Amino acid sequence: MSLSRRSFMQHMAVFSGLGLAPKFLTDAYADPAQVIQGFNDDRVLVVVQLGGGNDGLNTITPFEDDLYYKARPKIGLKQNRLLKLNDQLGMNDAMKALMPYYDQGNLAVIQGVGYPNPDRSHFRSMEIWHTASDSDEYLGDGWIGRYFDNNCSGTAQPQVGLALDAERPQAFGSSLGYGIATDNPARFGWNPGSGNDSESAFEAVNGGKAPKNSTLDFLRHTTTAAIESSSEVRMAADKGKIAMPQRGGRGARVNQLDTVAGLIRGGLATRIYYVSTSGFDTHAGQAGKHEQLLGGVAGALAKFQKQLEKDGTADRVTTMVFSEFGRRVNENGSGGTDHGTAAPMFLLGNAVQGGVHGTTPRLDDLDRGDLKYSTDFRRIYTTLLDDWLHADPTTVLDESFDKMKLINV
Amino acid sequence: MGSLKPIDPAVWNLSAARHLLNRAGFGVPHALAQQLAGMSPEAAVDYMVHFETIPFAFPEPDFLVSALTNKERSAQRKGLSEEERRELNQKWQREERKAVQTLRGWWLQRMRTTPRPLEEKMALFWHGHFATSAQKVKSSEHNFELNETFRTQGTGNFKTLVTEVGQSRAMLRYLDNDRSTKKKPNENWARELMELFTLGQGQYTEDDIKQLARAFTGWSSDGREFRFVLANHDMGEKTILGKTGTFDGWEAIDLLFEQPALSTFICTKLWRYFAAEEVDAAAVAGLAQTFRDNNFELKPVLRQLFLSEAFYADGVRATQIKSPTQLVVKLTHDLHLDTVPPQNLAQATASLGQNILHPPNVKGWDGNQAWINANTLLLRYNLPAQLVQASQRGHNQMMVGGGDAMMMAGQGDTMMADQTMAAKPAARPDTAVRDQVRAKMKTFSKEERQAKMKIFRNGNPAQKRALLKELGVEAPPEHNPLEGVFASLNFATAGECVTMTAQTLLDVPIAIEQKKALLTALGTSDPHTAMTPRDLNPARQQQLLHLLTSMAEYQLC
Repeated sequence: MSLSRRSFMQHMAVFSGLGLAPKFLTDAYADPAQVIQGFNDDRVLVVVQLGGGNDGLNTITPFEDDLYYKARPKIGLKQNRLLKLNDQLGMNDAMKALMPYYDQGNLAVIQGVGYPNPDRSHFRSMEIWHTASDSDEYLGDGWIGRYFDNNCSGTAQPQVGLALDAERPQAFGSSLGYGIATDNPARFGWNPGSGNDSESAFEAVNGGKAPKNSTLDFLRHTTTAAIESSSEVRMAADKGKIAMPQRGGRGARVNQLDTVAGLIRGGLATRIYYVSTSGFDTHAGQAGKHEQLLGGVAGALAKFQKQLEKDGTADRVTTMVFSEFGRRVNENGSGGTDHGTAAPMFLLGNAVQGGVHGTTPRLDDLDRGDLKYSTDFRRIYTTLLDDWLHADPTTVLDESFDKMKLINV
Repeated sequence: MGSLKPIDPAVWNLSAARHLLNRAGFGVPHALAQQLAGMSPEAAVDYMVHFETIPFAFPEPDFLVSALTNKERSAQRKGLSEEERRELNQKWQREERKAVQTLRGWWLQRMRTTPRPLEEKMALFWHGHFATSAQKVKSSEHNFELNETFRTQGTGNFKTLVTEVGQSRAMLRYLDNDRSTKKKPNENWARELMELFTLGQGQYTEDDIKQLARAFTGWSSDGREFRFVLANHDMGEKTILGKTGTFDGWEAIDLLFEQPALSTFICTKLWRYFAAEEVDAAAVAGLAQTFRDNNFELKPVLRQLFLSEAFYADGVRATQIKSPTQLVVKLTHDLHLDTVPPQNLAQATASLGQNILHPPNVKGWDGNQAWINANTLLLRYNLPAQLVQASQRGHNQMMVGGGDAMMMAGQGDTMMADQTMAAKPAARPDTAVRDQVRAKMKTFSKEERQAKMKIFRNGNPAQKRALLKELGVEAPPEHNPLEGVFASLNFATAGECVTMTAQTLLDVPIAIEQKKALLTALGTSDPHTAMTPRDLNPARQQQLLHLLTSMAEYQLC
């Protein structure tokens, strides 16, 4: 990326924020009021990350397979604890809040998702999911960052990607710098931290003229873009009447989905939202704890979906749920499970083709005690990029992956 | 375009000295700029470049995980089940990650406190040039080994440096040469050695890469040290860059150093790191000549650069965007924040896009404008207040006798060679308050004591004050590091206060409108309002400093 293109993008971000974007840069066929600035349509992707490694076998359980109960004498889920998805598989009944969406055909369960030569380190495996790399490949940029770099038009603003966290996820890593992170959208911006209201002074000290094309000029423009962008986030937060972020307690962070619904309602020009929760590293005493975690996630997702329906924004949103890996087939001696490999993923939304997708990994054909993956996670990325976001997946992923029938096109 | 002619001593002043310290170091300590301004330009540059005589005792890292040899590793795994091996591996990775994190803070603290700034500035340059990442090189010891090489050889001979880097366990692992054998040569190291480390793109063919990779086969490591494994080395004839012979790795490096492109490539990179994004071709050509004439010794090049008119040209001064590292190091000095826990320093640079020991790829960090986007710029503007808080937390931990050896090492500011220049004395951990608190709680139940100690240690300032009041212990005065900024300034009006503070913190002049806005932080619109350092309460101090460090100008150096 050349500096001149970079500066151009930055400048465009500034102009567009001020409503000065040249008409030819806005979209040809869509009504500008209906689209997300920088894109051709108004579609939104919400990514929900379950950190720690979610136990796939106790999320979607193969209740007809004796090997499952043999491997998990203590924590195996009996049939009465399962919501049947078909004659083989049942969903942990802690997730009952999502069952109506499954029944309506708006919840896709994708079985056996993983990648070749799986890494069992949280850190590294998460990185592989974020960068969409091979297991032995080390990439700096993230898959979402590459999507922005190659698919935004010049009118896109920094908030095309918004992570509800203090730091940008690695998935946002990009050379053009799209994507912002804030754990408190209602207060996103310059925070003096001393309780004084000197924002006007802040804008005044940063408002002066600078010699054209100088470094200072570049900094001034980016500052203007940042002020503009953060004020749009705050305005959307205000307009969407979002509640202040909840703190503490497990699963509390998933309630950030409320915030996402609010920002969508508030009209923020964001294409991809990123939300994460953690605690899924259930090495010991998994029974009960895991149900609490799954219940929290399912409840938050169902509430989110209901809110979108109420706001009239549900048709615009698809949500993807993933974890960095599943867990070992055999339970361990502490009533928990250790790091494993493949696991199910979820997609939720009105455009989602519901049901069970992919191939359920066999319990009689393990790789050193772990499930063999049947679907590369990059197939799901490819599908979402192509069928939901209308982007060319090859601008994001080095290799090409077969799409799946997950989105109603 | 400037020239390499030495700068006229008549134009040598504080502003020029600050520029030298900004670029050949991190712009700190402030007293050193004053000291350099008082020397001749030659003496000032020599002080920066020939730093070995300046004493600096910084504690060696004692937190590294000892790397095992491959043999030791397999011995350790022998007889373990698959499960146990995995657990062992995970435990090892966890320990290494922790040690690498500590190492990041260790290095930043070292940069903050060194009296030999160029040593660390060059080490950071080489870390970005010969980039390896702990993402792949997990061993903290291997990371430190290369880091130390950048320190010991970073201003020495470039050929020695290239050889030592090529033989470092971190680079052998990062670019896979440790897996490169006669039967299956791996081209990763050979390619980057020419493309990124010595010659630059377009100076070699794809076939040169293949042949060069064969020359380096056998350069490997047993996990503890470099090993040349003869059995894996391809002894056959190779043709590299037009020459034919049975070259090994050492001889291949000789061939690279015969290429005229090498000196230009390295001097261009040095110019862009130390001087300006825009390359001054004439200046670089002169530096490259010096590099060749001096057998690839780095110091003559650095000395010539730092002394040159070109280096002090208007288009060069105050035009760089501070790297996150430079920003964090400079901020802690500018705001007198001596007690920020090193981990927080490392987290700050990471959140701004420079995760020390984790460069994004083998090209290192792009630098300059690439540091800046809407998100990182807001983070930069919000960083001062966060560091003030972190510093207060660090201070409170010290007050209760905790704290951290590395932090203490940086406490004294005894980094100046000239003792008369030494800044304020070290803050000693004050355990008196803690002892009083303990004494007052003697009759309490164990649970109550523990609960209250927890508040005392980790509570916020308000909770702590309430606790001390409840126990009847006299609270120590609130720690306000910012007053140190104003203590040395001699102003009598609000206008002077703004001007002097801005001059201390910024390397560029500010406009009249900006001055007006800064005055509002002092609660006045009249620059003639009488005001002395004593009149400034902590809130006003914080407002003024936070505004000043939230200016686009503050991002420049």
